[in-house]
Amino acid sequence: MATSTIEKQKTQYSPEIQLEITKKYKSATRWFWSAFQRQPLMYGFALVLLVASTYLTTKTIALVGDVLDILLIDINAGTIFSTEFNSLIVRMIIFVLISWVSLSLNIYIWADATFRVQRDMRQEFYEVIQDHSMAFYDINDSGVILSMGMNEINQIRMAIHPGFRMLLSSMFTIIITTVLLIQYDWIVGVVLAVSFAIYLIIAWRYAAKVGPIRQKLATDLGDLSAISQEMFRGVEVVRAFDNHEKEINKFNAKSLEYAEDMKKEGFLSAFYWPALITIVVTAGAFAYGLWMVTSSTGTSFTIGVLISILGLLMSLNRQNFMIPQRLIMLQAGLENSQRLWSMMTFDDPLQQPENPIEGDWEKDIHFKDVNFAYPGTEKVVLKNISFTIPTGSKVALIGGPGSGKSTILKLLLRLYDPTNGSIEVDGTRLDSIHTNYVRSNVTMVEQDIFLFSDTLRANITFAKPQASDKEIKSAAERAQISQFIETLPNKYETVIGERGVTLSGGQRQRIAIARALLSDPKLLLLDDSTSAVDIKTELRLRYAMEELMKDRTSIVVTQRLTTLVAADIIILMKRGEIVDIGSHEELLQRCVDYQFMCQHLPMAESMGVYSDIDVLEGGSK
Amino acid sequence: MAHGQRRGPGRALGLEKYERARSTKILVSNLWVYLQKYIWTIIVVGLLSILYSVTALINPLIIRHGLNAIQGGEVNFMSLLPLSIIFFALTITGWIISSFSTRIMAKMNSKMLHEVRADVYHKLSYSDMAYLKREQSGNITARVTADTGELATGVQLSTGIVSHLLLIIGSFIILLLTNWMIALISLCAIPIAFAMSRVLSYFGRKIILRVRRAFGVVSGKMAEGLTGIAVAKSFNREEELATELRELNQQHYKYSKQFGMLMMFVMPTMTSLSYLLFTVIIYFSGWINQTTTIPLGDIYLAVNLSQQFLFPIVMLSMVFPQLEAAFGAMDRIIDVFEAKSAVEDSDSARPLQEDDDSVHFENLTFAYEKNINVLEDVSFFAQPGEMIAIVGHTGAGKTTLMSSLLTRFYDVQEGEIRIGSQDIRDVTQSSLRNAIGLVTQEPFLFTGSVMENILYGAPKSTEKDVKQISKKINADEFIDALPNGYDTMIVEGGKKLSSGQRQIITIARMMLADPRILVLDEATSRLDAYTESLIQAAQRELFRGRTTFVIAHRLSTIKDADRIIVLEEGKLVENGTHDELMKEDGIYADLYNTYYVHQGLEEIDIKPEELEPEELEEEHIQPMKVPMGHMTTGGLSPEMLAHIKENAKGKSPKEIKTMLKQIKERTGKEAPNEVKMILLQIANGKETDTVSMHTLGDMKKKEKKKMHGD
Repeated sequence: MATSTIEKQKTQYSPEIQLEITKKYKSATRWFWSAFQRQPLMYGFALVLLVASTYLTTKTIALVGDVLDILLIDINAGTIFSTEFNSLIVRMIIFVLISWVSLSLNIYIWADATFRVQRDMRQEFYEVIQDHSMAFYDINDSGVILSMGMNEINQIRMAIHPGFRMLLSSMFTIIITTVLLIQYDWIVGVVLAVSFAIYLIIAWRYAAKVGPIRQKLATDLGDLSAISQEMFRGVEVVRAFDNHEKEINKFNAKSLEYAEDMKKEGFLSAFYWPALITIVVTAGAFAYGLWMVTSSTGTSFTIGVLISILGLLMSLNRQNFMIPQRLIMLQAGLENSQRLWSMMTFDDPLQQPENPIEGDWEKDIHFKDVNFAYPGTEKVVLKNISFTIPTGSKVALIGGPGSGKSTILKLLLRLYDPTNGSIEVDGTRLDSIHTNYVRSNVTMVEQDIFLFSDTLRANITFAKPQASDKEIKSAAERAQISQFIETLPNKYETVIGERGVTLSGGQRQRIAIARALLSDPKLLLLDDSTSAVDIKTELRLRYAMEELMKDRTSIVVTQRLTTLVAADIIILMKRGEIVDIGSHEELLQRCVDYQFMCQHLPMAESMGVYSDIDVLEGGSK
Repeated sequence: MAHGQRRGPGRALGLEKYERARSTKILVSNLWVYLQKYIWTIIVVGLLSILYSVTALINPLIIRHGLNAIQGGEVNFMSLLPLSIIFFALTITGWIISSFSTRIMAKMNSKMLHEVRADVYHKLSYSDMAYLKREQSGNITARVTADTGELATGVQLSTGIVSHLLLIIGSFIILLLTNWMIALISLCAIPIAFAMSRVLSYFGRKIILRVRRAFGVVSGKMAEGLTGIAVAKSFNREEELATELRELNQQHYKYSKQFGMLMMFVMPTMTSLSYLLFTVIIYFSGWINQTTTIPLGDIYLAVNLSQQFLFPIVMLSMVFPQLEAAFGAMDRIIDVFEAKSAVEDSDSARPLQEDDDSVHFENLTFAYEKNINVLEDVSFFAQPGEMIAIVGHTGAGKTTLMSSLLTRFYDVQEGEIRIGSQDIRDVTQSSLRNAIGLVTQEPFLFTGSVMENILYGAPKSTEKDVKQISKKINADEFIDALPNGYDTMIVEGGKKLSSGQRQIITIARMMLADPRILVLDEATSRLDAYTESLIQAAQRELFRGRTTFVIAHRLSTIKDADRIIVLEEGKLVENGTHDELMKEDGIYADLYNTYYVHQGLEEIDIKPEELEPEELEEEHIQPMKVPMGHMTTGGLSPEMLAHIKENAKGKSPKEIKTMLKQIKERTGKEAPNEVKMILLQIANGKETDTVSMHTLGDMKKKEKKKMHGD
């Protein structure tokens, strides 16, 4: 592969995205509030509109008293529709109309800005998470990450829109009301200002109490679904082991927990204490107003002023239904961004080198005293592994499950770095080579093939999106899968996976081989622990693999005697250690474990393995 | 962690148009079964909401009284003071009442929800296996969690309806009594408010469906990116995946923006409307004053009430769709209650005797669906301790015979299965299943530690037993290598284990349960040859002398068997030892030569060109898995798909093509390939049931409806 394409890849994709984001936002709280930094103009404009519309609506309510005062004068004077009355009515109507327009615009712009923020934060989250090494995916459930990326980002969005917008609207209403009231009577205004300060503090605390229970309810429901889903998926196993009662009890316990939390939430939110403050203030204002209206001193109110004050307070009371909900939303959003942030700032044990070297992949590869434990665990799964893979050789890895074979493959792909010791390519340590470069030279074909639910074409060209039709066809042919693809109604455009056609294990494997052929690696890693298939599938697979291994260094995990016999080097592993290294003949001569293993492979007889071994125990029928 | 199902904004708009199969009366009477326990709570809450409405209605009257008194002049503060005290007392009372009724409702509602949930779950746990297999686990879970939740929400909201209605009617009556002309003006606002909510739900439904679909697509993409992360990393494809996601994300944003555009009208319009209304009322009262004088207090009252009754109308228009959703949920819940139950123990059922482990299959005929026999007149027997291999092509009925009938997940239509001298229908299921050890094709693990999983069938065993068994089958080596050994948690069905490792654990689980009769359904198909041979050796040692049925895939297993049963299209066609059957040169010999013999074959002597072409097997079309959000087949709703499919029955391919054209016209885009494929299959008369799973429920419902209609 040309070096230039590698260079290009590097510049296109910045793997340092995690660093970039964490440097830019520094903390979860900042990340959350960065919404306003991302769309300053839109939010700014929306804010102006919000203030305007809040002022106008509040003012309209206040005008009710004024207009009624005039009406009273008119009635007493015996006139109707005096110019003052009419002009006030017109003013009110104009106010309402302008506030209608500005509030609508405010909501639209604010929503648009916030949906943009949601889009960008979701993308940011995904890109950072995607960039984490496999160590991250080993310890985090992908369902949970998905739910974070989708649902919790949604919640963050909802905290800003409608949550924070409504909260601001309430605040402005309170402030503007207070200002208007001070104009009528400073006592009422000051009392209101003070009590609302108290109100907000209590409301915030209230929200802090209810919020977590709501979150808990959501978790409970998730658990409940998980329990139920698992039971129905495994219903045969449950029935076969006669374990119904156990499963039902498990479900009921969780359901009861949910019910308890739901009750708790209901109890808590039933008594919204802060509402008492507004009630007392309104009732007090009513009494005070009555006193002012009836008092004969100079500063007395007109009846219209009393109506205005009452009207303003009544509309303020309506905020009681909004504020707590919005506060809870805001808190949930802040909390979620905390959780997302901690995922994004995962301390990755696999770091990219600062000055990446490319290494010459045409040279030998050395394992030097490699020890390895999966990140975050104590268990050492590879112990003192040392061997050399000469360039162009075919290496076979053999061993029981848990012997460490597949871990060796993962280290070669640099999905992880060794805990101790080093892997070297032409004397260059693997951890000083950028993962992008490692992986463009090394390709793995796994045992459990993962294909994307996309077209066959997209899957085959996964490693080389720009591949021509001719290349794709040739790869498919060499992988023994083209014949099959041609029989499909949509040929290469057939969608596979969840919503489309499902392929058999053998077909999947050959698609993966075609994919690997197109990527044309220097080093091939092949996990060939195939289970039994019918003869045709078997043959096709074998042709495909031979084609893939042709002319390149390969490491194959295998149980296949022919592969073992043909291998240049066989590495026999057991419990994370190398038992022996050598050719088939050598190992058959000297290694008891190898002899035992070979004897348990199918058709060992026909290969003449038995005749070479005289240390047989048991034997097969 | 909040990964439960979230309610989209669409709920309130009554997005899901769902056609119920039952009348409201039947639904309510079913719901009543649960509600009647709380009859007193309901009465109390009802009374409280009446009381609440009364306080809300009296309050403005008090203010009016005060204002009118002032306007009349010659009042002193002391005479008005009681008014403000009453006002205060009433507001506080209103607050206390609504708080208490919320509290009482919360208690009742949470209890009721738990009861319904427990019942639904219980019923489903003991439902007919065919029903559970037909529905996707996600759909069934939706019955248990989402539908019950929806029902509870409906019940809670319905109490609000009473007080809303009371407020609307009460406000209007008082308005009418105060001044009938003003009351009539206020009425004008109702159609506007109503039209608003109609417009909202009409456009809202469309937009929200789009938003949801886009959300589902983003979610699907992200899910795939996360599960396929290792592949993406191996091929340096992160950048491309991120770009693909970005495009979908942008699409979602676009639709969300449309939604925002819609929402921008609702709230401001309603608020402005109410303000306009009172401005008009004030203006109008100026006009009325020409002839008769209305006191200011009355005008204030009219202004106040006109607002008080506009908002409940909006609230009600939001509540009704949710109520409808609750009824729909109840409908589906009743479906569950009425679903067929699993086989039950007969009254005279006795525990399985332990003296005789021979198994007799006599003239078995079985069909999952009427008249489509999966097994026909199958008879054979296994002597105690015999090992029988069952072979045959895919779909021959092997799994049905062993995993479904011997375990009595289903009852046979004809014939009988006996263990010893007992018909399995005469023994308790519990004793039967304790006697039989089943390892299913698909290795299924539960969330929990490896230890717990192995202990699943034998909870009384000790950890030492588990380790012993694991050592015997060579599982300890890989279990030890897991991060926490036996305490390693299995998550997501065991994603960190290879399918072979999962299979080993299920085998250990079965072995520990120590059954008398073994059923191994391709139990070692995912193991490598070496591990399998070790496990088989262990099996031979541990289960020597137990009656064993193996659905075999490997030569070595078949060779071990005492006898081989060959099934072909549900019929038993051959029965004998390997040598006997080879001599017969029938189906077994043929199978042996294509499937088994080559497993040791090491020399390739056939050229690739000589191989026959493969075909897409019918069963390889999978049921749709709906990940998150609501993805449907190629953008078609299940209802629509069901409709199309029903119409497609018996049509010629040409007619199908015309149908496809119609779909294109109606949806504005090419019918998705999967739909085409389904249709062509139906036309050929061989619809695979897997695809129709998803829609089967809906189709059934339609049929039921038709019957009701008749």
